[in-house]
Amino acid sequence: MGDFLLECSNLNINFGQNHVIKNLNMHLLAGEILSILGPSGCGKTTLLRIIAGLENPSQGNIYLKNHKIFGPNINLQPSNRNIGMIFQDYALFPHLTVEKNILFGISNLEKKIQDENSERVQQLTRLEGLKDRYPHELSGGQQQRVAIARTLATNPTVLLMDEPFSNLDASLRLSVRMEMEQILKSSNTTTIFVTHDREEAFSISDRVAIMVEGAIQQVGPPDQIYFWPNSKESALMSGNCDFIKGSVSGESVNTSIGALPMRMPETFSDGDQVEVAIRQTDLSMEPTPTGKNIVVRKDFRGDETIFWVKTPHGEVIQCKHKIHTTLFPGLKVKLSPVQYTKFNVFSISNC
Amino acid sequence: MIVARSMFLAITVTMLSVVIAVPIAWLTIRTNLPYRKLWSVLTFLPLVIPSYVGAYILISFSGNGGLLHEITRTLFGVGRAPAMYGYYGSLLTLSLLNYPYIILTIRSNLSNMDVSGEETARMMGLSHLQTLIKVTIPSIKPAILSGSLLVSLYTLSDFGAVSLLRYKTFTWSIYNQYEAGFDRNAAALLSLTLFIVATGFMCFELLVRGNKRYYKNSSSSSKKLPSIDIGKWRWPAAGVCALVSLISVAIPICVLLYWVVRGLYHGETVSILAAEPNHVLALNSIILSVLTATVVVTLSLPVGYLAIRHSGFLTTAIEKMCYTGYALPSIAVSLALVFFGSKIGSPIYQTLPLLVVACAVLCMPTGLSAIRSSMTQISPRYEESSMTLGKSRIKSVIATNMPLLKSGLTMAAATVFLITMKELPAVLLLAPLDFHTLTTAIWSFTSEAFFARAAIPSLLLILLSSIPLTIIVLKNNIFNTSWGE
Repeated sequence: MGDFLLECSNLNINFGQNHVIKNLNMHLLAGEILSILGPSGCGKTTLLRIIAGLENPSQGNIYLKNHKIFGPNINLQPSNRNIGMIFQDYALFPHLTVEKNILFGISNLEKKIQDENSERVQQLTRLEGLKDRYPHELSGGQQQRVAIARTLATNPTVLLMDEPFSNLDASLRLSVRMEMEQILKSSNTTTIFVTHDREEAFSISDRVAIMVEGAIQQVGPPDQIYFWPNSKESALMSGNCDFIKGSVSGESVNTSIGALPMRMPETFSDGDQVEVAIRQTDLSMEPTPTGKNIVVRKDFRGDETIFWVKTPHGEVIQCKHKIHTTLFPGLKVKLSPVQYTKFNVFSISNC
Repeated sequence: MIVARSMFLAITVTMLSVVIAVPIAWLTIRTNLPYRKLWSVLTFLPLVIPSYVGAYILISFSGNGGLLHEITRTLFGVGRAPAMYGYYGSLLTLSLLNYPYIILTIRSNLSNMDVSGEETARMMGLSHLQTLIKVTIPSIKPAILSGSLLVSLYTLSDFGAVSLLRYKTFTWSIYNQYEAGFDRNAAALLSLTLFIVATGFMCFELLVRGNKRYYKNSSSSSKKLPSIDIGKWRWPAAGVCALVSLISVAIPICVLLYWVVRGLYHGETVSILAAEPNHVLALNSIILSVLTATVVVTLSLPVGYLAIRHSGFLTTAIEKMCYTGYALPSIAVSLALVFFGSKIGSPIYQTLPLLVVACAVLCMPTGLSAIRSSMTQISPRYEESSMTLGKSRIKSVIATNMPLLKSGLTMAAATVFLITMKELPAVLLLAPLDFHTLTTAIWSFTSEAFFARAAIPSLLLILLSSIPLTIIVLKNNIFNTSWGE
């Protein structure tokens, strides 16, 4: 047990036959924004609900500020944990105005403190002027800010957010996200937020936890996860990625498209059968009659164009390019690693 | 024989009700019928007329000395009127009074329907009529079935109408066995058989409907449905609606008014009014209905909540038990409580509390389903976020659910009030000796053919029942528009 704000150790939960959370360990540092990134159905929301106290794990311990809040003989009720949660659909009370929603959680405080708190969070979330509106009279982004304000008014030790942007229009997401980041940082709120969207997770968080099938696969700063994925799952969750087979030889891997320089060659020995993770920007393409790879599909996206390229072994790799006029399906191309690129390699037996 | 007769009546009444209800529901909700609002209100109104009042109106309208007879005698010199007793009278009365239940159950289904299915059918070249038959009606089939079940159960357990019309069904026999004091065992056995038949109807409905649920595809249910142009059929269709409203609402009210006027003219009712003041009768009816509504709502709140949020074995069992009340004919429940009460004797037998218990048992399913349906629309996220905001579990449940349940509670209370207001067998068998309500007064007058005397209590009963019905109608509209989403 270290000096963490929140620590979960060895959490397990079953829903019937489903082992949803498996021996999960994680911790949270004061003031950070940690996002849990994982495919839908991996147990992210369940994890949040366990931390909030809305689900009871079958096994495990949870510590908040070094006090045990869940364990074999202890289960603090959600109302006593001082952990705030913002649901995917915000769950604003439809029969209360914005102001009454905000006051809901602090109605036991002195009137003066209530007003101060309410005033403070309304300013923070820029809700002034909306306090007499009802939730259904607000836009999606405003509703979300009310949900944040309502929770922040109670001064939670940790704020949990479940897919906060999934209910918003795609065109709104970026601005709302930036706004929310600013609110959380300026109020110094320690936050765990759950998403399946890589871009969201990367842009907003100090650390990202990749969650796969009920367990945390890897935790770290976004760039670390992207450049140093510890597994195929992490590589896939942290960015578009194709895998091709190869065998280790010295500091590189021999593959159907040639030798590729690898990261951490010291962990492998010559002749190891491995899979190489290839990001869309890792390879450059050059049309040549002697090229062994064939462009099979071209997907024009405006800023960039994605090409699907088939290797001699029939593996298909996506490559991103700015050029779109000189390359087209049917063309033979040569693929070579972009300068200074190192490739992540995973041994086949591990995958 | 009695079994066959009861079942035959129940099935034919249900069929006739479906035939009346489905076209009216479709016309008033989905087409450009003239005066749609008017017809949809008018075709609701038969719900306020209890079956025995309906039967009494039919007898006094068509029988010897009735309004119809008076008119035909003066105009055409008809000597004797054909009596409407027996099967045809029962069929007519019960169908005309029960068809609104089917309209009620299919109404929300029809108005919240996802029209993309219909639009697809239209684009594939089907006419409006073909679309109606092949797409619309099949998609509201579950609602039609549950409405039909309701009507058939009400018909099976109806006591007032069939007794007045002297059609010897189950309920009539049960009551006679009991009243004549022959054999309580026979009455009990008959009640049990009736219960089994009713359960059979419920199982049949479950079997036909299966576990199929007809979900909507799109989440945008709030969009306004386009009305279908029925062209040259607009006025004939309005005529049909007018005819149904005339027979099931206008004529009954007119007949009652006729008897009031006639009674007052002959000076009869005035003395009767003094002997058994109508306002006392009305007050007693109101007291009973209010008490029952309070009990039912108070009990169904926790049951409904537990059944929805914590569906375990016990809660499911309790909930299912409440619903068997639908299959329990009120005469059987009342008799059971009579036996029970008379065994225990003085402290509870023939007291108001026992009567309230009987009515509450009968109304429990209705109250519960009203509360349940509005509770299913409340997201459990509300109470969860309240808990994470620092409120205890109990406080959270109450603070977040109760305000949102307001209209569901009003609905439940109004429906229970309406049913209790009209309830006959329970009041007849279980009321304290000096406790007379509008229903018992109407019953004793009509069963002795004092038609004129029964008219004022009947009108009062209809008037009082209209209050909860108005609430139900209004709430139905308000509920759709409140709080967006």
